[in-house]
Amino acid sequence: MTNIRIDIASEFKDKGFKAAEKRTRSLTRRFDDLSKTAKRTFISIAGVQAIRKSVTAFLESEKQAQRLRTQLAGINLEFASPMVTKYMNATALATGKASGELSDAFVKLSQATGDVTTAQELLQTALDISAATGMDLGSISIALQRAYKGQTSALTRLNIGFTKNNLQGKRFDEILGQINKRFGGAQAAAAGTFAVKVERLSEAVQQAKEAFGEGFVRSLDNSKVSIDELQTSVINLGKALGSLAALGTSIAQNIGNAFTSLYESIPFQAIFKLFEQLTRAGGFIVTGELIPSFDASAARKAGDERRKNEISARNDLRRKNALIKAEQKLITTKKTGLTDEQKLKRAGTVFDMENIQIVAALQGRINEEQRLRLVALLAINNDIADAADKTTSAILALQAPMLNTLGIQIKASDNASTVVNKIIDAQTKLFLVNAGISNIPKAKNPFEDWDEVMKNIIKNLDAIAEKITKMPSASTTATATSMTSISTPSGTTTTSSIAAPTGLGAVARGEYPRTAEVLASVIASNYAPDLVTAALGMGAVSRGEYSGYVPTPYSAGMGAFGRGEYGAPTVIVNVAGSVTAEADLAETIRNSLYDFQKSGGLINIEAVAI
Amino acid sequence: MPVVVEGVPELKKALKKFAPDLLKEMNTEIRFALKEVTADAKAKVPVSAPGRLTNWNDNGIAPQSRVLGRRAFPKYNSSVIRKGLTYSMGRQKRNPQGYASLYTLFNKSPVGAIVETAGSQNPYGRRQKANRKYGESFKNIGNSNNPNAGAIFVGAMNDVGALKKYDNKSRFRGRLLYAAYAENNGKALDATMRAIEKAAKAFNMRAALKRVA
Repeated sequence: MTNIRIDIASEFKDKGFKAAEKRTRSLTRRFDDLSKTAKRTFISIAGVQAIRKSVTAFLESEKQAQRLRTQLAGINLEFASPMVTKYMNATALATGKASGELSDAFVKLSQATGDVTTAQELLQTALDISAATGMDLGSISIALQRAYKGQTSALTRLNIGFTKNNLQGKRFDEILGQINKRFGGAQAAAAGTFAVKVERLSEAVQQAKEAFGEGFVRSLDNSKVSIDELQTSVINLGKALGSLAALGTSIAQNIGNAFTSLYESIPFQAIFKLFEQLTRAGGFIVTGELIPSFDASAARKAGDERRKNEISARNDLRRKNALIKAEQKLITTKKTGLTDEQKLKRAGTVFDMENIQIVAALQGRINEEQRLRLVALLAINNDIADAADKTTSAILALQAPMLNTLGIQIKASDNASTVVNKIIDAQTKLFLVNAGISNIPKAKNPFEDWDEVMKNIIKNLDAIAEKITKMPSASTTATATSMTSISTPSGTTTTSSIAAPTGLGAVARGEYPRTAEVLASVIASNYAPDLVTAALGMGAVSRGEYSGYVPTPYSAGMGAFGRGEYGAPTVIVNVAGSVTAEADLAETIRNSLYDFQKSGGLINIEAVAI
Repeated sequence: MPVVVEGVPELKKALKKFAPDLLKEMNTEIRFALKEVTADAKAKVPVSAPGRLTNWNDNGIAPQSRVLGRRAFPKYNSSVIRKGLTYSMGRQKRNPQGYASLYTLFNKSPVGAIVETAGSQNPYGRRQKANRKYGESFKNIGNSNNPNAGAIFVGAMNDVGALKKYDNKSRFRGRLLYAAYAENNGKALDATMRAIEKAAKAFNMRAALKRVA
């Protein structure tokens, strides 16, 4: 694909740039670490060089001492060697002359005198001459040596004010007296000068070096550090230095690590510890060299310790900061997540049909309680706890009177959950009460056996009727065989004979006038409707209430008859005998019909057929 | 210079999730605007090779480079050029300066790029080896024995249309896509920005309405 393109709109992303900046910072930090490591390494190298110089000085000093011992041994003064050496060191420190130079001068003088004391006196004279004239001590000591042996001409060559004539014929004591008179105290006077002080200090340094070298070599010889390990360490150091020079800064970190490992290696550390111990043992305060003094060593050690502590503290702090940052990041992520969630929820509710419906319902005509309920529902749907609590509390307050009837007392401090709990408690109690009621034994129905009673009554009545029937006939006969005459639409008249109850027939027949009278009154007062229905058989037949009854063909005609389809019915009631008056019987029947109607029965054309 | 905007990818994400209809509408508007430019550019592509460069027409035989391993100079094929004139509505790879294009117009085909940019560096064509001085480097020198080959080719390409900058600040010049975009007078850019703003506004309004509800 070609790179011919037009960017209409772009966005800037700085993520990579931040990463690059971070890496650059990291690289800079690594270079700083490298410089620190290199500094430490070069200090180590300087320390090694100082050790080398010290050892060299010690070896040179040892050589001189050996030579002194040999020469003193040649004149039988070997026993005085330590004292002479001590004297030499003290003189060197006092005059600033090199101990080697003093030693050579002293050997020459002692060879001439054969006496340590005389040699010391001559050496002092030589030092005075040297201090006064600035000539080297070796030349003066040779001249004095020769003069001691009688060759005074050597003194004239020193050009110190003595001529051949002045010295000729004089003894060495006299000459020495003149010399001391002339140059005596010159050395002491010179010792106060700054130049000599510096020389003295230098000599002290030299002696310190020698002492350090002596101590180092002796301690190394006595220590457990093997020469092989030391050699390996030194070779490694050389290799590391070579690598440093060759590879440059690109692999600086590796070199730094190499130096660090070398620095921290056991032989190297042993050397440094030894170095410190020797310095402490010597107790020298040396300046002008890279040999650490006691104070410098202690300071270095304290500095190392402090640096270690600082590094440790810094690492701890860094770890803590990293943890804090991680925690903050987590919190931020959570917050962002919550915010996003809220945003999404908020945005999602745009299409929330449930909320939309609630809002639509709120805009309709509703009463305050309904409004409160809708607002509460809206708040619950949208997880607005405060509003939900307030609205539900308000609803509960409105419901308080009703709840009171259920035995629930609401306080102002009650929240929704408390009220709900109270309702549940109340409902639970109610349930228990209901459960208790359901377990109460069923009450006895006083009309439960009513059907049976009625049957018995009817049965008794039948028995009475039967007995009445079987009684001897009376004068009065009742004929009730033809109770109805039905005119059919065709004009033919059919007479149906419906059998009346036996007892009633007997009564009707007037066989038991009194019994019939009593029965009539009983029937009229108590059993009129049923009895009338039963007696006449018309309503019951038409309603089909008596299944055992087989309707006659005329039964269907009765309704039609009642509805007037066959003209006005003619009901003829013949009352035979003196049972009751006709009007009374009609009234009784009418009243019975009224009572029947009162009891819920239908008295109309469709339902009743008499 | 492209317009640097912020939040468009986020807006697109939000629209995709919560208001896909708005996203669809926005994309439709932007697509219409971009298509207008590419259609104009396509309209500039001649059916056959411009000028009298009849031998440059694609005869169905794949060209081969005389140098092993190098791509041959492509043949002129108008359908290939038209096909390469297209657009993208997706975020492109970020460039070293940190910018990522959101809506881009392309001239993808190599032959289309040749027609587009021929003469933009050297208005009279590149020097050919025929007039190369002795000892001079072959760099940027054509292989033709005709010293006027470059000028002839650029002249033929100018039959397609003049080289145009697509805006005053741009150093790019071309005669197909760049020219079409220049002639569009920023309408595509305006329409794109308007569509983005419109979608953002509509989306925010919906959110505000919801908050009120």
